[in-house]
Amino acid sequence: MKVIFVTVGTQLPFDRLLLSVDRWAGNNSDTEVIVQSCSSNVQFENIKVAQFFSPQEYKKIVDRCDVIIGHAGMGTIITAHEHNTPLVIMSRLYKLGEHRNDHQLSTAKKFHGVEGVYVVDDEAGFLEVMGDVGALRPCSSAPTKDREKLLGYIKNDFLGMT
Amino acid sequence: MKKILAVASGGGHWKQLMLLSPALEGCNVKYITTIEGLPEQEGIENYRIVKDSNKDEKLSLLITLLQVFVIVIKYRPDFVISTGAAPGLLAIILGRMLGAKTLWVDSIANGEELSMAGRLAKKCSSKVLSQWELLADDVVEHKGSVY
Repeated sequence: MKVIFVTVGTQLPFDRLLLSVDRWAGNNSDTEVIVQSCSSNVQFENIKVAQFFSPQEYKKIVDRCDVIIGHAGMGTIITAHEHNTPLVIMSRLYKLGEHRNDHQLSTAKKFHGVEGVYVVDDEAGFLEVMGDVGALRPCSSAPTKDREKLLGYIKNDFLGMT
Repeated sequence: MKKILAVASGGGHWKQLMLLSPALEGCNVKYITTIEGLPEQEGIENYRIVKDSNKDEKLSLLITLLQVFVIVIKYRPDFVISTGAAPGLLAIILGRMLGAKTLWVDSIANGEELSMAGRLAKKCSSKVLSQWELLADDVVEHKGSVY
């Protein structure tokens, strides 16, 4: 059975994403859907939610899930890359009261087109991507050139190590 | 051995600090974060947990300030590095006052403008980096990014 992990971070609820997941889960009862909802008050029809998981619980879930679905938060994005897991992300929008500003839009833009990252704008986009879960490709845990550069700067220039 | 204080709030800030930690190998590193359990997960033993806070929670901010102050005074780091947010900024301010060289790496999540803490770091940190080339200016430098 495929395991899908949905996480919206630790600060604010994100019901627009969870309602999309709820709708999808109604037609995919052969999938285990684990949801971390933060402080959502919505009664969902097809998914059970937990407000938070401890770091240990979180790690166990991430280790065994086949797909991660989340907001466009860096914690979620890095987690998916570390675990070579396919990632579907939806940005929180300021105009809908989903965050304090629109920084998640720029994060999503940065990762648009990156292998294994599927950026969706709304429920329709979400359902389209999730139409064939088996076809989703994994993120890669390999360090990027940009990261090597930053590490080199910190070690050689900032710390002055040779 | 160089003493480094590396600070990040739980969540994405901490994740980014962990991606940068290979650059600190060979140094004596003490970590500060805000969520119990995170350092253990990485096999880190030299760490302190402080209260999370932000600019809207003045009392929490004061508690974090005192906690970070005690750690900085006792540890006396040569370098302070932070990827955010409020606790990291406080560590940079206090570290700099006590003579440490400090580095603020603004979160990759801030692609339109520097974070508020990052804008304050511009005024007090030895070095400030943005992970977005477009945000570099006469103070802020771009030297790569975690992704």
